[in-house]
Amino acid sequence: MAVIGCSANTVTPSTPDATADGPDGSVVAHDDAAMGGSPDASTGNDDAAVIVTGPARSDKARVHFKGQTILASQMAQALGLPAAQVYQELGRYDAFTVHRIALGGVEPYTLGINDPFPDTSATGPLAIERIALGGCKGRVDADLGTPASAVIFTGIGPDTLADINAAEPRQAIDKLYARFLSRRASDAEARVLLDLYADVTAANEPRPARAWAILSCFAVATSLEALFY
Amino acid sequence: MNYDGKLNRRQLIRALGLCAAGGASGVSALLHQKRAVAQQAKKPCFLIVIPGAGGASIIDSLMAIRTTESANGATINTFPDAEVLDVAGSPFRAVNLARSAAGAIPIPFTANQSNFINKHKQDLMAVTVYGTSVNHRVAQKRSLTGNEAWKGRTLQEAVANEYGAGLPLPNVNMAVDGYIERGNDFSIPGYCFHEPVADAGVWPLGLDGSKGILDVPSRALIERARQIRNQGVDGNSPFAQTFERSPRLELWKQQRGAQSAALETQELIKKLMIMPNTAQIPLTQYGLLESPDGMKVREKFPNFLTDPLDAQAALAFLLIKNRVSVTVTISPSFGVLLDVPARQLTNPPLAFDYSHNAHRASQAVMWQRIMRVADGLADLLKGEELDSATGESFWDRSLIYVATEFGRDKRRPANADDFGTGHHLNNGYMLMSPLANGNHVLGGVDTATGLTYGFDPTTGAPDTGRHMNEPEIYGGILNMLQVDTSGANLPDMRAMRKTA
Repeated sequence: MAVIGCSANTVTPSTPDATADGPDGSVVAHDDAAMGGSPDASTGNDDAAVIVTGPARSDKARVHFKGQTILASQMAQALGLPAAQVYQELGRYDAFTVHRIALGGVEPYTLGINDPFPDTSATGPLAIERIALGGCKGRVDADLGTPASAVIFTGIGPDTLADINAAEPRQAIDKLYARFLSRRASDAEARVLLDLYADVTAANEPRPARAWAILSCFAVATSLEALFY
Repeated sequence: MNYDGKLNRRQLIRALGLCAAGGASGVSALLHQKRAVAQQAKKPCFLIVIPGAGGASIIDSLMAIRTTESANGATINTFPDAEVLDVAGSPFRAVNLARSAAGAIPIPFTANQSNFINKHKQDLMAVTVYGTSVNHRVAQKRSLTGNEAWKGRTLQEAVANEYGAGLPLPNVNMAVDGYIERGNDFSIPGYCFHEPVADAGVWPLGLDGSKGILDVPSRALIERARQIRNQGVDGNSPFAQTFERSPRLELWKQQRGAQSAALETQELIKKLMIMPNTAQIPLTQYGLLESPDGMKVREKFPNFLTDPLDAQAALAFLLIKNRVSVTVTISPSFGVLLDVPARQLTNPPLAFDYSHNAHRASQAVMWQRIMRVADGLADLLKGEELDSATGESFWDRSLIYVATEFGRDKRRPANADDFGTGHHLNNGYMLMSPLANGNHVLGGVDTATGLTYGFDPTTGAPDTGRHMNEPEIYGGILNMLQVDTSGANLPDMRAMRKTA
């Protein structure tokens, strides 16, 4: 099995004899495990080669859902909102409390759920989407309503954006990535969200800049990278 | 689709093709098409589990003993003769009693089991059992797995595996402690494992990603943002790429895709909302509505605002009626519930386990509580047609299993009416279903000791030399629900079924 290390977006094989350059500069790794085969049973057949682009893939791929407690803290910090006011169901009930168990939380005192369940629940994705949508709406309205104290969406008004490719939208995306994912967005990642604006304007949304800001925030806040570690 | 619910390579390619053409609905359509085929093969049965949390003693209900019937009537758990009623045309007993206090709790209570038993005797069945643990949490789980009778899968998981394919949430569990633990058989598809529910009243709010949130972009744009997230944001994420082989990420992708789409498409946020529009629950202000059956379930379970068990029962009915689930578990909690203005003890502290302090009161109040909820559920399910061709109602194919951890000690201080009891392995279960061998006590009770004994699994004849074990009862319940147990090596419990 080839052992592959990575740095940024390049792939560096640690066993050169097991890899070769692909046609586009990517790395071709003869990695049986990557194909679901036995990691010790090399076929030696070029047909079995896998083209690996981007970062190396983890064979063990051990990730964990962040769960209710971490997500509540993360969402509040990222959005710059008080924890209890990120989103309230029906304007009254803290959504992280309402959806505590669906989001992998515990409730030892009355339900006897002392540990999170091993798998994410079927309603977990919708629960976190509600919270993210409501929280992002709150952040966007605050930023657009009082631009002087904007946290994420600075220099953006609620109505039509003059130029989605101007500096401000890209800066907002970088802030979203920094606050939710602790890193800058790559150009490709930013482009995906900037292109969302065309969908918003095509849908005749009354305040397209506001809608774009909410949806961009929603997409980042509910991404795999934001929810798992 | 593979046995574990995953797509094989060809199906995945096809699904991706559908995705390219029509978004995530492609996967959804394929999954549901596959599941629907499986589902059509067999008409479903429904399992409702209502745990007698804390230790529901069968000799305090269907198998009660009169003091004069026992050679040791003064020192085992028997009742004054007048408080144990015969049920006409039935082997069951019913305990009707009233007291001025529940142990140290100075609140009077009454219990009337005879109304419930008379009404439902044809569907009721008592089966004796000898458990294997007097530890609450261990025994709770064993009452659901039959002490690991079938690779550790719970009854609910077995039923979800048999009938749940294609349903949005086949197995919903609102219970506590060991009654809400998952089973240990990981060979079954993921959809068989329960969806835990903490609060039946507000849980439906989480069944849609955006409804009930005011002043947000249109539904179509939110769907577009989801697609961009799934493909563009995650597709470019080094984290998502590095860990793309993670089963947890794979599960999440399925859940946020096909499974979430199924929940939203059916508008379950409205269909399952048992709460009415009030100042505390301002549904209409947020563009939501209560369930079309809201009034009906609230009439049957009027304490839905103050008693979680009522709210759970209401939701259980809606989950089954709307074909969201094939098995639902509800449970009284171990917390005390007092209706102070009405001077009513709704739920003793520790539920049935308050028997440590006040056996008579705990058993009486809690059995009354369980029976009231079972009665309401049966009534509601009888009123809903399942199959227009046969005229079958949902109730005709439902079973209520009053699971419990264990029985209670059979002894008491001489002639004591207010006494405490410990845990005892010897007990029995109450089952209620048109599929059961109704109006039967399977096994019996030794009036001299208060200990129950078993029965012949085939004929049901009492057998004083036999005890029924947990796997036998587990198998019998699955037999009644017509679950295919091939390969499970479970005993055939013909005596528990109404029909062969």
